[in-house]
Amino acid sequence: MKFSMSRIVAWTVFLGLSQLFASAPVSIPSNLTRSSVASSSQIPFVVPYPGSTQTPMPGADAASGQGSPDMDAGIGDVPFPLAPDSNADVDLAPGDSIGFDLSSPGDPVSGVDGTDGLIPFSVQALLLPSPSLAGINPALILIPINGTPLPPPRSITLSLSPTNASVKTGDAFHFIWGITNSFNGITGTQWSANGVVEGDATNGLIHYGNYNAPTNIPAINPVMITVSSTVDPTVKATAWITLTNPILVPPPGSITLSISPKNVSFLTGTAFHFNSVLTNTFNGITDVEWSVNGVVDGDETNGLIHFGNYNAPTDIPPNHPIKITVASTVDPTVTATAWVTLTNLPPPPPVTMTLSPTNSTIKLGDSVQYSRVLSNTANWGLTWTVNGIPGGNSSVGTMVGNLYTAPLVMPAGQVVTLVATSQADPTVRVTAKVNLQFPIPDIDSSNPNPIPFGRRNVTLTGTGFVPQTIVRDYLGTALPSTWLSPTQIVVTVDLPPTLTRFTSFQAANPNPYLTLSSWLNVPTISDGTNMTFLAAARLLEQATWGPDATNTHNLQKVGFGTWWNQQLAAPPSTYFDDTNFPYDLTALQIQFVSNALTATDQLRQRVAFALSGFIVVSGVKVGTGDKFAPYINILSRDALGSYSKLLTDIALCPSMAMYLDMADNDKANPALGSVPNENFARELLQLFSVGPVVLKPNGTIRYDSKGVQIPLYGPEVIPQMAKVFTGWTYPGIPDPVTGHSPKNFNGVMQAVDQNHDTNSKTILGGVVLPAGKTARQDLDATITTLVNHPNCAPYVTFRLIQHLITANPSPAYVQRVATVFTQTKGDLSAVVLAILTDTEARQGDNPLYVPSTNSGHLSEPVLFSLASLRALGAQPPPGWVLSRFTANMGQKLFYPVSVFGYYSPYYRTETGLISPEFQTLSQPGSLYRLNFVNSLVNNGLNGYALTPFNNYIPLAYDPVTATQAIANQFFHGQLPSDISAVIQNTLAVGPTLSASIRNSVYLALTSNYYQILH
Amino acid sequence: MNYISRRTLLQMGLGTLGYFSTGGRLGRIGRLAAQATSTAPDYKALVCVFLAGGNDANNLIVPLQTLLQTYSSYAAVRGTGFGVDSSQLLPIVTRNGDQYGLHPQLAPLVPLYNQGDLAVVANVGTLFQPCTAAQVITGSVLVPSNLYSHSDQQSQWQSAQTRTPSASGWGGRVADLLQSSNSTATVPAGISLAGNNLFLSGINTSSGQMGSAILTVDGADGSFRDAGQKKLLSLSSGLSLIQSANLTAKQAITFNTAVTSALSTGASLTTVFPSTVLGNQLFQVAQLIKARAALGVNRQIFYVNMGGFDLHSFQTANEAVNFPQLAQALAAFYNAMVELGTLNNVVAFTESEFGRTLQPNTTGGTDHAWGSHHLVLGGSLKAADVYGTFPRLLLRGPNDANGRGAWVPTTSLDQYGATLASWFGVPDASMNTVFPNLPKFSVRNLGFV
Repeated sequence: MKFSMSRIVAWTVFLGLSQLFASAPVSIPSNLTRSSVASSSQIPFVVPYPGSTQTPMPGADAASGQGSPDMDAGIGDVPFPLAPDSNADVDLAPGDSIGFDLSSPGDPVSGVDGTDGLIPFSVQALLLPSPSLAGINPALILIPINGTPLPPPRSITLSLSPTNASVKTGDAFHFIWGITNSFNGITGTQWSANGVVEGDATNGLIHYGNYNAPTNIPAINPVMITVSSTVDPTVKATAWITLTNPILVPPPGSITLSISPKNVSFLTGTAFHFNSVLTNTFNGITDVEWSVNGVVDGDETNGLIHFGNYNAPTDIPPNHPIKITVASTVDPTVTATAWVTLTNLPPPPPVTMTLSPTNSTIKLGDSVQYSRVLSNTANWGLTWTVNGIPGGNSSVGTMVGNLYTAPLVMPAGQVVTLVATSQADPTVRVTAKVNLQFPIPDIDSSNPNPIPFGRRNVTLTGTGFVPQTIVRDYLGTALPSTWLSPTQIVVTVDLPPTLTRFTSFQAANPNPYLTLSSWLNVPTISDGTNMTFLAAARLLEQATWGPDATNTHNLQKVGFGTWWNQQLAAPPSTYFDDTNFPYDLTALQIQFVSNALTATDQLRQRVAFALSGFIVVSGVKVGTGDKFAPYINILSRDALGSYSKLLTDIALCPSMAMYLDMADNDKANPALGSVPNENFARELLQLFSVGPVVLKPNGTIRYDSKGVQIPLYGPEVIPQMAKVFTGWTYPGIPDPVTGHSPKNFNGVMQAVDQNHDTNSKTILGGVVLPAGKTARQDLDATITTLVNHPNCAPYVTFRLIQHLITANPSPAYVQRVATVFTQTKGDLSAVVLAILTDTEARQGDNPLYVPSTNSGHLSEPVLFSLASLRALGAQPPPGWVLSRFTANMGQKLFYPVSVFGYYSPYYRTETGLISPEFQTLSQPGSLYRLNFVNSLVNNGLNGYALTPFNNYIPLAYDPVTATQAIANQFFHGQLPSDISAVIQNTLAVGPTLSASIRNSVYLALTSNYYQILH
Repeated sequence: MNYISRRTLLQMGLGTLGYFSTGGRLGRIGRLAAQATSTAPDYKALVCVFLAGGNDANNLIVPLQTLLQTYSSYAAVRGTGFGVDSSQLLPIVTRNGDQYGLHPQLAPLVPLYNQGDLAVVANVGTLFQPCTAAQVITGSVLVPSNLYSHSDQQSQWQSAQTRTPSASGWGGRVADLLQSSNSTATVPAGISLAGNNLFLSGINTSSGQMGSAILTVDGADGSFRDAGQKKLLSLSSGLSLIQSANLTAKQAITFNTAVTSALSTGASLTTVFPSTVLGNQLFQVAQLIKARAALGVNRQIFYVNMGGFDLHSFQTANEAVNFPQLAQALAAFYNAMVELGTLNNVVAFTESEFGRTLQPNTTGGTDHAWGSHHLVLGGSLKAADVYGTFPRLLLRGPNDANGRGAWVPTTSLDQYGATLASWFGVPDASMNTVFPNLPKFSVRNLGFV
């Protein structure tokens, strides 16, 4: 430290002052204090040349020297001997003196500092108690301020070049310099580096223009080299040396650098990472510097790169392909290059939108959910307008999200336009059209319910009603209606009675075509309260050709009593020959069907037909209308009258007279050996009145003690009876000889007593007809005998009950009715009344009644087919011949095979149960019943009959209801659940509603639950 | 098979014997020779031809010259403007040489008789027990109930029960006994071509019925309607009559299906049948016999019916209609059996509820009577003959039950039927169950077949 201090004593000359005081000796006081310094200006001083015993004089050497003093000579050799006052900072003014107290060797002397804007300098004086300095008086050294005048300007010149140079550390540099002195010829110079005279290790050494750069770049760089005249320090020149470190060149190959990939192509605006690998065996430094197209770290134009992460510019730069360079910072010549070919990003595709549906048709109040697909944007949000109204409103409908809900009221034009606008790109918009229709109406309920037959207003409640709503019935007829509200409409109906007991309503709204409600099926009822539907239908099943809508309704309204009187008063159906059908009974069969379907005397017809079952004339023998008509006219006329009169009229009926050979049945002819014909007599007894065996009053057969039936009459009675019915011929004028008239069926048989056997006859029951009576007298007496015979009442009663009510009436039932027969002497109206009103006939009117196992009877083909037609309301046209169907079923109308009629009252089923009509039910007959029904329901009886099913069409949508309708129509509203299930299942299937209905009605009519009346 | 084969041989032998005894009938020999190889094995059919109304067999066959009587006895009662003139009668000769005349309208039957394939069984009727006219007149014997009544006598003829109602017919009871012979049958043994009848009602078996044509169930499509119908027919209603009607329908459908199937194959008969009620029915019988293999049957009993015989008046005119229909239909059937090679396998026979009074009435007809003559037709007949006992055609005579010529039967229906049933295969041990009255008669088999 001490050594260093000593060597760098700075020689500083402030030109201004030195010029003033260059020659003045300076006396440095020993106890100089700041307070003793009056002036603030500094004074330069000249430090004596080390080693000099003289008062150092500035410029002394210069004057004697030729050039720059040899700075090296004194430095280090002689430490500076000064011992100024220590710790004194002084401000000197010209003329001041400063003294150094050197009495304390080793104390540093602080020089004058450079305050007041002047370059500071310091003087350090080392007080070295060196023996070498013993000769020097360490006392006060007076440094005179040289009062020598300054050289004139430019008398001393100094040149130095260059004034700027760059020198590497550790290098030497030589300035070119020169000095002239015309003042006093002294050309001494003083050199300094960075103010350090002769420089030093830090700033480099300077000596007579030779500069040796330091090994390290000093803090002050460039280094200021100053040369000044020792005569006039103000004459000086300055140059600047910029020190640079010497460039260290690594050996070739000591640093390697690679980059990958070398060539790459990607899109503008994208990022890419380059990998670089640098190896450095030179100094291990692996730092690299990246540049793009020569721009370190890149820029906006060429893209930025940082640590190999390249972000391509959004546009392709002018220099393209882009050069990516990575360089070693140690040796920038070591580089690696990659090339980027940029491809412009395709321009962002435009936002597009598809919307679905773009055209839809909905009902008022209904909604459309729109689905949209937006492309090229993740923002699928839409904004909507409805008819230009953002979001719509209640008049045009509203949008919630993408759901459009139509208004409840039809807007003008019946169309709304929706515009969907992309939130992502408002220029993208799609228009959707919504066609609005009236709502589909629906009818939920009816008031009243059930609806009575007839004309009345019915309030229908439902939804979707509009003033334009039309309400139709099952025929499609628009009903007068009054619109009340969207949920209520009043219609005026005029319901005809139906057996199905349902009516149906359908609402229809317009626009653009009818929209229809489901059918509302509403039960209907008779407003009659005198009889239940069940009771009325059952009675009509027993007493007419089957229940139909009108008669069932009427019976419910008027009740049994009035109905009964109506039936008694109804004009009897009549039959007449028709010359259009001269060869058979077709005309009468046609009339029969017509009467059965339309005439009012239903009870009479039904009873007449029952009577025809055992008082038989057959077309097999009496096969033309003119011959047959009298017979059925009598049955019709007498059906509800006196049985005696019936038998009498029958006996005198030309039809019967022909059939059973009473006509021209003369008394025995001994010449011919012939006797009276027994035919009529036998059948009158056996079939028309009393039967062959003794009956109990309850109709059951009486057996003798051996269990054998008791013949009611012996074989001998028949010839006797045959004699009774002798002497009758056809109406007209008898041949006077034979007493026979030509066949003539207009009128009644006339007696020709000459042909009558007038002998006494012993007839039934031993009754003796006295001899000599006329033909008529004998006939009347015989019929009276028969009708009054105890067998007659149960015999006739049993058969009528079998026909009308049940095949196996209880004996008590027969007896109750037979008693009426007896009491009224065979008044058939009373008998029929008793039959119909008997408990046994009426018990089924109770819906809870369970018929006994053996009850009921088979609906014979004629009744079955007619009842089917009536129940369905089917209308065969005039001329339709029922018997073509019934003949196949085993009952050719008016053509029973024999006098025993279509069947025997004692015919038994395979179980042994009596069931007369089953005699007609052969196996083929059973199939023909199926075919009849098939024809009826599927092709209108070969196209002849109109079989209406219109009312079923609405019902068929609801198999449960339709099944109930079928139960009403064919089963008096009562159908066992198992049958009902079958029909319901059938209604639920089928290729068409019509087929389902027809199949179901087919099953109903062919079911034996229908065909067995019970 | 052995039984049948032996029996067939026996029949042929006896038949051959008959020819010699009755004077050669070469036609029959030739036909039998031709048929020997075509006789259907173990197949037999009975065909009951019921003549409803009570056929007047007095006009069917009239004695011309017999050991008992001549035409005059007939003419004495019917001769005046009513009966058939002897010159018109078609003569046939019995094995014992008696000469009878068939009604002139029965001409088609004469060759059959002459070939030995037609026989007459005389005076067959319903009987409760053997009896004479005297016994009947005096009421000293039980007779069938309700004689002279159509319905009762029809039932008795069909049931072979004469004093108590019967739920079964003798044809049905035969079918009951022979069920095992028909184990492969698709149809019942008994088939009626004339609807319901008591004759074929068995105790254990039912009969099939068909009309004059195969029936189609219209609109049946095999789908839901038919399924619904099938279901309805299977329901238990609780009412007996409904169940019976359901049963009939089910039987009808089953039978119709089987017959339709069986008759749909094979060539048609070439034999032409008259288009009459009876002709149509017998045509179908022949068809069914032809289809016996398809039907799987070995024993069949058919019932056909012809009405119009209750001729209380205008009998002559009506017989002129009825008898040709009867004869032509039977002859056609005979020809069909020859065509089918089944003549030896089939026997047709008539029934009718009663005969008619020999004495006419004042209206040109006759009235209900009792015993009557019947026809039997078939290749298995022992011989053409008039079997049984022909009544004396005499009012108030030994056979007259009521003074009008109502014959007390000399052969009971039971004997008549038992003879047929025996041929058909009913063993004698079972015969009384078919004919409960048979034990009352000493002769159990009349031997005509």
